Parts: sequence; C-alpha cells; structure tokens
Amino acid sequence: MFLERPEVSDLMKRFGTHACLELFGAYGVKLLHGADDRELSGPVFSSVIGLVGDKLRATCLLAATEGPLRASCPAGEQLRDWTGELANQLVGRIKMQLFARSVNVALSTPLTLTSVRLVPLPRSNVGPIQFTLETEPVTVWLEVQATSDFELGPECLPVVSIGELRLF
Amino acid sequence: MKKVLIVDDSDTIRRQVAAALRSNFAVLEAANGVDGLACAGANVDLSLILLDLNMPLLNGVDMLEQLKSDLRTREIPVLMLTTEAEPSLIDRAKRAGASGWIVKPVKPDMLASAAVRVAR
Repeated sequence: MFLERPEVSDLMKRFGTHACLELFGAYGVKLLHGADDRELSGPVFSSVIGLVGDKLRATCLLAATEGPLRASCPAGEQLRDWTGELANQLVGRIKMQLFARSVNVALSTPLTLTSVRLVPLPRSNVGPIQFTLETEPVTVWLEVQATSDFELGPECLPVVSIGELRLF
Repeated sequence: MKKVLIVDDSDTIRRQVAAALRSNFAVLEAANGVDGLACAGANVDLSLILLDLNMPLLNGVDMLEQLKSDLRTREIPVLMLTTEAEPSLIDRAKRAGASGWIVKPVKPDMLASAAVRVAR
C-alpha cells in the first residue's frame, strides 16, 4: 500500500533541488534556490512526468515563466517543447539518483501545458521547490508516495554519467 | 555527404543536435520511433542514427530492436542519446546492437566527434 511518508518526500525534495540546480547549470543558467512561494503568473509553461516503481511513485511538475526557459534553451524558441525536454532531463536526473541507491522507477513521457497562472496546492506539508532567475520563478513540484518498507540502498556510481559517451 | 537521422520527440533537441552535426552530415529528422523507422527504411544508406529513448508511439529501444532485425537497416550504426542511464536499458541497447550510449545534455563538440567516429 502506498502512503505519504514525509521523510521520503523530503528526500525526493533534496534530489529534486539538486537535479534542478545542476540541470539549469548545465545550460549556463544559475538559479537561486529558496525564493518565496508566491504563485507563478503568466504565461507559465508547465510539464508533468510520472515516476512509477514497486515501492515508490511520484508526480513531478516543472513550471517556469519565459525568462529561465529562454535563458536555458539551446536552440530555437519553442518554449513549450523545451519545457517538456527540461522536465524529461530533470526527472532523468532524479531517476539516476534513485537508481544509484537501488531504487528503480519507470518514467512517463512529459505532458506540457501553458497557463496564465499556476498556484500549487500541495497534498502534504512538503511544498514545491522554488527557484528564481533574477525575478522570474522556476518551480519543481514533487508529490510522492511510498510503501511502508521503502528504503534506499547504499549509494553506488552510475554506469554512465550525465554528459558522458560510452561506446560499446 | 554522409547522412544522419536524428530521432527525438523534442524539436529543440533535434535542432541542437542538427546544428552540431551539419558541418559533417546531411541531417534527417523524425519525432518518434514510428516515423524514425519509416525514415530509416526509406534511407538505408544512412551513416548514423542518433536515437532518443523516451518517445511517444514507439520508444528508442524498441525502435532499435526493430532496426537491427531488419536486413535493410541492421548495419546502420546507432548512438542512443537519452536522459537515462539505467544499466538494464543500456545492456538491452548493447545486446540489440547499439554502438554507444550518451546521457543528455551533451556538449556539441563531443557529440560531433562521437558521430564522426561511429558513422560508417
């Protein structure tokens, strides 16, 4: 049975924070962590991905206004498309952190939406993770459930690191 | 000029990869595995395929296995370009005949040199 476990949500929040800072950093954008938790107002680009494993399941939403998306986008100006790809890479990084600790999850493909406003209403006390680039917000919102026997294994190194090429 | 096919559901990534490879290759693009298979079947002289993993309709590993089971396309080298690094997926791709695995994001110059190195 899946339950909301605050300690697991906190753990995933740490993974999400690390993953988001590293991801935007890889595209030359230095986000600041810990902004106020105000709503995002428009246009807001949001992308949602599901993570499903035997003992852990989660929904991850990445949302941002135009500034951080434009600053990180390596080609073109299709911000809706880029939001989906960023969410994909963000969740890929979270998955790698979980897998390094013996937790395997499958990922859905991203669903992207554009809105005038986004006001998160978290199900638990663990709220979304807030970042800013100058005055513009980036939010990572992870809602997590785990079985009562879910736990992390000892950390091990990934087979292939981010940005690495492995030839067979 | 040698031809490369980029299969990725992100238009932004296809543009970025195409820009990195255009000096050495003529670039074809597909946005999912089904279109990627069709494009490869119609261009059996491809020198290389760069293949994303998580895509709608047909994912990258399934597309790879179908490519490698088709006599017309089995010799085309394939580099997986993805956000994931799960060992079971990497092993599956290796067993199916992929030439390599790259975890995004990748630096354009590294991608260009890897493509030149792996292309037939």
